[in-house]
Amino acid sequence: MPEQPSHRMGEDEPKRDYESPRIQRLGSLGELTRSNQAGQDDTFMGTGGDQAGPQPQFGP
Amino acid sequence: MRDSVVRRVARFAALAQVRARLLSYTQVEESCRLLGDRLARALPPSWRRGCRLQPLPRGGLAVAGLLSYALDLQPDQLAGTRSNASEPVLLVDDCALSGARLRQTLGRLSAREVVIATLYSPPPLREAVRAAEPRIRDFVSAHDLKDLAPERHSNPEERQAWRQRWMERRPDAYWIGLPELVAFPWGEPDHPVWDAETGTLEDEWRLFPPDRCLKNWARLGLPHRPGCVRSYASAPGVAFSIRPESVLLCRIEDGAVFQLEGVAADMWRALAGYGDQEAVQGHLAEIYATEQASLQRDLDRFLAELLELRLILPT
Repeated sequence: MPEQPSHRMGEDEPKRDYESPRIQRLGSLGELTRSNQAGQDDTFMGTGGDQAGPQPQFGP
Repeated sequence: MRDSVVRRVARFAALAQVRARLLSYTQVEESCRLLGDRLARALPPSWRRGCRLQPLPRGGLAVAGLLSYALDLQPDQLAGTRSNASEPVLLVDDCALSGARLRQTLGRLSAREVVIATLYSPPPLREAVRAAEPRIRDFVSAHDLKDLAPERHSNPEERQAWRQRWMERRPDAYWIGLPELVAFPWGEPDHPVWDAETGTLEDEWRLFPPDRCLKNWARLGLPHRPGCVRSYASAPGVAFSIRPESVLLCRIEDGAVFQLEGVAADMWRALAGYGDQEAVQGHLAEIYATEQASLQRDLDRFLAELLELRLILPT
């Protein structure tokens, strides 16, 4: 996977609207995953490697 | 949106049960000395002097540099400064988990004899690579990684079915297992999880604090700010998943999951990345249109909540 240049916060962007931050507690892992089996018991530890990214993309 | 978040959380459920540890630079250096000692015992001096050292990007580059000193190799033995198909190759990586990257590299390598050296790898993987590749003279590792698959899939038939599923998904792997997870100061290895709903591999959760793992720091997407004095850090045992629209945090000890959006996500990123309240405030003032006084008040309150929830800790 080719390495993509990361887009860093604050670079050439207009200022964003501000709102007071809040922490949303979603619940426990057990509660949240009870109805969704995606990935459960199907973890695979690694490609044995180091892929670049996914690079975070921020901004508008 | 809610379904999407639940699916992201679900993909973490299996990963949260895996034993994981993060090494320091000091531990890595000690491991390189041990690996050098094992290679010196396994290979005659003439082989070591005549080989070419080839690191697997990117973690292998850090190990190769240290190992070249531990083995007292010459600078021109490092890959890129000379290339001769007849000379043996010492292939170096920080860890090998399935061997997929080794297979890719071996496929491009014309050397007739190869020795593989890792800091960490599971013994069954080393056996599988030796068995599949006749030109592998040896596969040496400083440390073993235990395969946790027999514990996680205790029924042999179920375990075999699990292995078969993954062999089909990853045909480039030499071995399918569930090794303990080890991470390095430069990077946390990939640990993909299968999303049955989309039929894709997803690899979005990171287990180790960004301030102690450079690759995870880069995921925060922050510019460097000189002069930061770290007073806070993302708590060990808090995993994170970063998306453009939100950050999910999971406190592994009790499985509590939190979502941060917008300003909250950016504040967490800056706190985890800089650990310096003044730097965090300066960074946020650059990207948000707001007054300093309200920003400082919100940051104080938000930080107090993160500390109370043990998502951020004082250093």
